Amino acid sequence: MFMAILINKNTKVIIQGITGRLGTQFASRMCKGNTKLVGGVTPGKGGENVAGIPVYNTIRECVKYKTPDISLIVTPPKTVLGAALEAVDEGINTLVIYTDNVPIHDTIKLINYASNYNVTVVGPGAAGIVTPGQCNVSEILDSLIKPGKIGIISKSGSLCNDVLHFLQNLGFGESTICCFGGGLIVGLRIKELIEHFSKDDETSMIILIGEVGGTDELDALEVIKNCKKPIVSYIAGFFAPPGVRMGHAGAILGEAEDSAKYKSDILNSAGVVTTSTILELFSLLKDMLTSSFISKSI
Amino acid sequence: MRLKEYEAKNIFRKYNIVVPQGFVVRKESIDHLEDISYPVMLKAQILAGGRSKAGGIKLANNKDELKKELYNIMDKEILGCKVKEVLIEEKKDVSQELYVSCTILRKDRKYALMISDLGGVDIENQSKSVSIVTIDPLLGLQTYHLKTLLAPFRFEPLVQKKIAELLTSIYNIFLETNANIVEINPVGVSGSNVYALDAKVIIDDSSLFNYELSKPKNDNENSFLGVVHQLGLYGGEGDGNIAVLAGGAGRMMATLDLIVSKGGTIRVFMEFGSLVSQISNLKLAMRKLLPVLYNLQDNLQVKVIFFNDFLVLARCEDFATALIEALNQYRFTKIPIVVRLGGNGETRAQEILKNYSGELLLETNLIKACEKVVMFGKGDVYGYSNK
Repeated sequence: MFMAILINKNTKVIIQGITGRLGTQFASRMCKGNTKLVGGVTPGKGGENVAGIPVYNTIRECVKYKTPDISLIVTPPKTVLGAALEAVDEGINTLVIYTDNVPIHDTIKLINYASNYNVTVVGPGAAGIVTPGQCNVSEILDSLIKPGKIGIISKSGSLCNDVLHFLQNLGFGESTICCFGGGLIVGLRIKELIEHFSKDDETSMIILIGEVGGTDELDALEVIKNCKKPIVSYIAGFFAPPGVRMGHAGAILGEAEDSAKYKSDILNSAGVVTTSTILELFSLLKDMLTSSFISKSI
Repeated sequence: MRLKEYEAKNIFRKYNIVVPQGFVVRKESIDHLEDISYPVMLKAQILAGGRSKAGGIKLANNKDELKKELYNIMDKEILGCKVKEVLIEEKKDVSQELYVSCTILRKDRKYALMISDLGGVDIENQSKSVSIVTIDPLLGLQTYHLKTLLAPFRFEPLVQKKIAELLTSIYNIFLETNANIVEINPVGVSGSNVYALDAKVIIDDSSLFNYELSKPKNDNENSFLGVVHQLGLYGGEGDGNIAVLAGGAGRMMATLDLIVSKGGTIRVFMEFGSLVSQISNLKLAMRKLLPVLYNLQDNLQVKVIFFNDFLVLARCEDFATALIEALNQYRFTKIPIVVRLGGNGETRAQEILKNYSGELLLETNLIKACEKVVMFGKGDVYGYSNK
């Protein structure tokens, strides 16, 4: 088991869609930080470079010269399916799909295909994954994070940023942060992430930020019960009116089992310290982290 | 995006699903009805389930009854929707009703094709056979799926063949229209004929780009939600007095939860999605949203407006510039505007916002900002001074 989950300081990253507006932004950021960005792919733009990083026409060309471990996909929604399948076929092990609003049937196809080849997909619509000080394949600002012992699992990128901002003011850092997206269908989910964090020596506690809609939080129940590390949760969307899409396609209250309160109650009975607002979450984290008992290990 | 019944049935016809003969009537055409044979069904074309029980489906035996019922139902509010169109259809007498659907299994990330003989209005109160197959999206619908699905029902051979074709059609519609769900409840069986008596199709919002139908038409274009939907965004309404405009779905939900937990009440809410990444889009959004909010303020429906964002890729100064530009056009004099804006370029953004001559409250701390918003919502204006 290497330090931190999914990515570390040796992880070699490529960006699919590197010459676009978003791709360029991600590339220049990665180059400023510690992330090992080794290449980018944009069909028709092979031979160019972005922030000094070589651009290839296809993943096959890129793989021939570099040996990437992970691909960040920022191409337009309609092209994500092709980009992801290509990456799987060329043997890339982990995909982070930042692009949101990927057509649902494309998402289902690519996730099933990737899963058949044991490829991990984070997203679509994922803010991404970052291990502070080592590798940042996410929209999260390097200036907002630092190495630490807290593992963060969040559907939402925006809310995770608010939590990171709070932790920064408190002076605490993170082991790995994974924002995996709030779509109806996403690849990596809470269950697998808790499993990863359970085994990770760098992680002492887990913050879980869920959302109203779907059963993702509840599907992780057995893993959560077996997790020896403290888990603190906030399931956003207590207020959510039934049938209203709360921004994310997956954040919609249908059945009673989808509600933030129901999911929170079940998590609580499984030993999770649950909260019902970010104010509660922040107060609780402050108490836990500043109490001498836990802060020694974090 | 959910399609109206007649829109869904128009798609069904292209896939050789038999639907009753019918046409759509609007208010202005009630007095110019074509000659048709009776009895007929009147069906309110609203985007809601449970129409029959709510009085949205009626029977008419002759032209007089039809006109009377049409005048009755038109413009009426049923299940929270105003009736603007009514589908008139020949009435089919059927001996059996079925339920069929094709959907996405969110947890398993596969497709589900389903048939049951508990179709009709009260499916929850019956208990007969339900038959479901899970379909691997990479494999697609196979003949054995259909055999497995239909085996429990012992249909007549001709009916069995037609239902197998029907199931294949809804699967194809599901895929080719990029639907989240295609559902027929009920399917009517009469002798060897099989009819789709109702039709529910919901198109995936992310797939609307290749769709001939435009975005939701039910919205009042000048309403808050109407504008939000026109911008391709999501939001909602409540009966409170606070407007929340946030960046990011999670942040929006967390903001609402906190405000409500503190005793605040919500009038409208929305999130900016990916609009924040380009200043031209932001300017457009602010130009369209502020007049609607201005009206809500004028009608005393909103007591405070809260902009809440923390930007990591997009630039705060773009957000501030777009907001101030629109605020200079629509000056809110009756109610406070609270802005929490942090992240990428926040210092520059705060300078832009501070130069605004109108009433605007800056608060960088998320929790404190929410608390102030709640206070204004409750009508407590202590501590409210510019900047």
